[in-house]
Amino acid sequence: MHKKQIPFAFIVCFLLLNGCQTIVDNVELPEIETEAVVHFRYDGAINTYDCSLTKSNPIFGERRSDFDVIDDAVVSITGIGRTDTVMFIDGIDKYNDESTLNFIDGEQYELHITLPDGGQIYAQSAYPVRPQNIEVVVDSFKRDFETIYRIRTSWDDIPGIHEYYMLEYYQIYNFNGQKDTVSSYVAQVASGDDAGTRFSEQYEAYAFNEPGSNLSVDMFVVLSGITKEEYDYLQFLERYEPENPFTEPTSVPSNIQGGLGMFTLKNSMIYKF
Amino acid sequence: MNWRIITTCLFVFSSFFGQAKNVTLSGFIYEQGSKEALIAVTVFTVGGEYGTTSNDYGFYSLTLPEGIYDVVFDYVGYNQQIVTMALDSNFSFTAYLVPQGNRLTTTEIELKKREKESDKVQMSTVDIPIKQIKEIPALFGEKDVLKVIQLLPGVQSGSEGQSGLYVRGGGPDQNLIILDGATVYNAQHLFGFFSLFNGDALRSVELIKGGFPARYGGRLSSVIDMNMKDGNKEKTTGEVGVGIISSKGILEGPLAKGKGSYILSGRRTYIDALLQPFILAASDGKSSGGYYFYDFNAKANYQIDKNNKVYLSGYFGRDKFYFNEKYGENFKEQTKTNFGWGNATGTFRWNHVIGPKVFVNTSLIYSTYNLGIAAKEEQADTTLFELRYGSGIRDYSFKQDFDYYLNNRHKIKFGYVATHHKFTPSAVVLTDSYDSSRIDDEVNFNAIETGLYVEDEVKFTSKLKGLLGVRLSSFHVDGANYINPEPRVALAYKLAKNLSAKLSYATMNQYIHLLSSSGVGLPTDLWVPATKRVKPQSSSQIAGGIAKDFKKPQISLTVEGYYKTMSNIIAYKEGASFLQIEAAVDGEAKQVSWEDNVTTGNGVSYGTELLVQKKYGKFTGWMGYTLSWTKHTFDSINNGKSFYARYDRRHDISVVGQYKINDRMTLSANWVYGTGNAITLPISTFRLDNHNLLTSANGFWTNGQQYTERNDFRMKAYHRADIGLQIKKVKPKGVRTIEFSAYNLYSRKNPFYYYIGTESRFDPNSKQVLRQVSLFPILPSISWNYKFK
Repeated sequence: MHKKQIPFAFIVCFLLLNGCQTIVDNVELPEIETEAVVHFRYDGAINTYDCSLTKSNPIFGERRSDFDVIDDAVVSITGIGRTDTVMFIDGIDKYNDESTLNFIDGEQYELHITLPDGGQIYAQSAYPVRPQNIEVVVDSFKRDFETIYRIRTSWDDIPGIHEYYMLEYYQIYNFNGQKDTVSSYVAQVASGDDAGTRFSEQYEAYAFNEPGSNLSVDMFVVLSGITKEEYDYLQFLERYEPENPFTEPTSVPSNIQGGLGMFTLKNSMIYKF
Repeated sequence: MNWRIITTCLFVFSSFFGQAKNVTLSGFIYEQGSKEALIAVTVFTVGGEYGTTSNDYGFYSLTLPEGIYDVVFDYVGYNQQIVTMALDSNFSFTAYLVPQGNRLTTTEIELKKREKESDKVQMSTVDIPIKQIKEIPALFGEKDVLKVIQLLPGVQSGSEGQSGLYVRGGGPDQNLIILDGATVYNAQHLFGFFSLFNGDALRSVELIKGGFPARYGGRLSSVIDMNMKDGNKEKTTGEVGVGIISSKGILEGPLAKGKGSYILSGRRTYIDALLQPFILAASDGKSSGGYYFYDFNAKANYQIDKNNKVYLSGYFGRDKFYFNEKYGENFKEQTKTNFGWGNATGTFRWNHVIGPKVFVNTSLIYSTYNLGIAAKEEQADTTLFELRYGSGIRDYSFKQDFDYYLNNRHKIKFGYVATHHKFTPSAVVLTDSYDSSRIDDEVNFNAIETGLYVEDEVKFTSKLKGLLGVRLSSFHVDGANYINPEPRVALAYKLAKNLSAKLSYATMNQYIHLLSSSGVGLPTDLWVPATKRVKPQSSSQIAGGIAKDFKKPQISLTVEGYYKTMSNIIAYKEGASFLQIEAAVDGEAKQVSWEDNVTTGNGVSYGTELLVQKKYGKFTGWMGYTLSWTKHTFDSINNGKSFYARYDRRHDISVVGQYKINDRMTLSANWVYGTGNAITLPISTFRLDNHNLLTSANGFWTNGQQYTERNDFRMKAYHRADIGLQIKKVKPKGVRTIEFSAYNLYSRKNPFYYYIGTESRFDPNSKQVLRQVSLFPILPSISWNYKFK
């Protein structure tokens, strides 16, 4: 809890101490049906579809901390006269497959999902334009027991089009040749302007390397052109504080018809060093 | 040719305004005994052909043809006085009215004619007699002006027990609350459960909901104009009162051999003192904490000569919440937390009678509201962490108001006001020895607000009266300049002897905003100025209705309908929090200004109000009913769709009655009913995937919540009855009053707020249900009051 929130916690305690509580039993609660929640993403850098398909849980009634996975839906994506059907993979509880479609900047692609109960989900999105004239410059220098990587990523925004970008930095440590999970991740989103200004972003990464340890670091820079829907969604996630009682109720951005979630296409480049 | 036109215009003008052989009767009207100035006393000649009312300082002026008249001075709660005058030249007369219940003198005659609603030009206005405020039962017996105002049609309360006002669909920030000319920004004690106005120190309270006279400006929805008593000019007297949670006292008396008077009043709660032993015992002496509020009013006046009088008045009040805790080895470590807020006002006024027809009041006004939060962590004598957060607003104003009683057909008011505002949305000093950081940051805005107005209460014909005016308001802040004309019109047409139809139109502009979280109503709400990005709020309201006075029983009936549009009202953006001072913007942590957190939109409110009042006799009171709708529309909230405001209330009923059993006992009761508040309810949770490229296989996701549409769910209806009995006993040195009262007589569990909880409070895995928190069951209280003779 932020220290500024302490007085407000007192106020809440005061009200609770003074209050008497009852279950609201004679007010009609809203009718709530479970909905399908789709997060479908295509990433151009690895040419792969990745789709989670789950059910929402009603607030009232049985308390649930997990979400039921829908593993027997028919998930397909269509574009430029072709259709890919994406298969469910048990190990990761997702629909995941390599793409055979030809993704072209600015072209429309459609998502169709037929649920086991016959329900239909539909979404469409244009494949975003790839960032132009990308330059990634890495400087590194050692200080005491750490190596500092200074990474400058720059690219051209396209004039006349309002484009959106996502820039991600990953660090993966290798201990004695054994790969760790991602140990550091930073993402930035940016919106371009019609003038086509050149973007230049700098990031500093730190890798600790004590004498005698056999530690190496893989670093990745991923730069993607993204859709406006995904930009709004990522901005929303950065602000999202569901546990803060003082935030205003928020509707989660969605571009899915017949359910909730996001259908997004990313035109990415990966740089590894 | 031009000269002919000018001459014709002058002739028309002089024939319009001019009256042959007219004389002017003018003077002041005071209460007999204390010599308190009486406001809005009706002065008329028998037959009702000529009439006027006294202004805020008791001054009146009546121009009429020379002759012999029976002049009546009439005021609610006072015996009427009739004086026969032979007027052949300008004449000055000071009237002293006797409060009802006092013995009549031989020169006073009781008349049948009484103040009538159908005679008033202004609609949507209610004068609340202070006597009634003192008799209406209240929470913990604490008499509260704002809670009485909540009982009037068109005015809604926020939540259980709170004194926030929502007038004709407007928010609590849209009420202009004035105490002796000074704006009061946060009129609440104890998070809104009590208002900061001590009814014992007030002389008059007026509520205006629509058809605003041009002399008022700066808020969209209502004006609550309060004046403190002047103090007794005849003798030193006082009053003390002891209640369940607070005690209070008043002292008043003459100054400078009766040329002036003073009044001092104060009140303090003692919840902290009562709770302290329990807190210390429960924590083995390690913790202490509590809450208290106090307020203090002072006023003095001095009559320099018969045409000049000066006043100095002030208010100071503060709430404080504190908590200290000791811990660690030998209790050398401790945390101290303080949370306080308060208002202070100061007004200097100079009344000057320029002539029998012209009165001017010049005011210098100071007003401030500030909030402070302080948290400190100490080890031995070393400060480990310290946070001081403050916000507030401070005003200096200069204004002049002229009353020009031109003739029996025109009563003109004009004047101007200039205010310098200093807004401090946030001032943070943070010292953290854990990470050796220090922040010392203060954000200030300076602004100038001005208003220039003229209004004319005009009698067009014997049946048609009007109040026509215009206000030119302006606001200058940080390179943004706004100037807006605000036309105001009110018309009253007499359909029959005791029946009139009324119509009004008013445009209002508001150059300051209150940032308020919709989930809670706290003193942390911030006053901020209109800026280049966040435009001023404005509203247009049209209202129409009828007023009817009945002879038997002596009741008045008013029915009004209104339609109000509001633009550039503000709200927090979805997901924003008033505690959010930093946020990730395009992936980078950036300081968030309040402008980033808010969005602007429009609102509309319409409805019908019915008010039946009985002001005279053993039984007095009123019954009010409001049927209303209030909707807001913001582009970035609720997907741009209109939604009901949180305090949209379809039905609102209040019944208030006082019955004077005999000279010693008064029984009072009230009952209120209101449709439940509109809230946004979470209805389901679902998975929100992070869209990372390399980590997606690891299942990085968070829980999202799906809500109903904004404010699409209704809380349970609110209703409550209160009852009180006042017993007076005349003692040799004064009058003792004991009051027994019960708040929420039938212990209705009214909703204060809802939250999602578990069916069993002891089993976290049981079913999730909607839980309601109610605050007050039946609360009996007793208070003791002694008024010295």
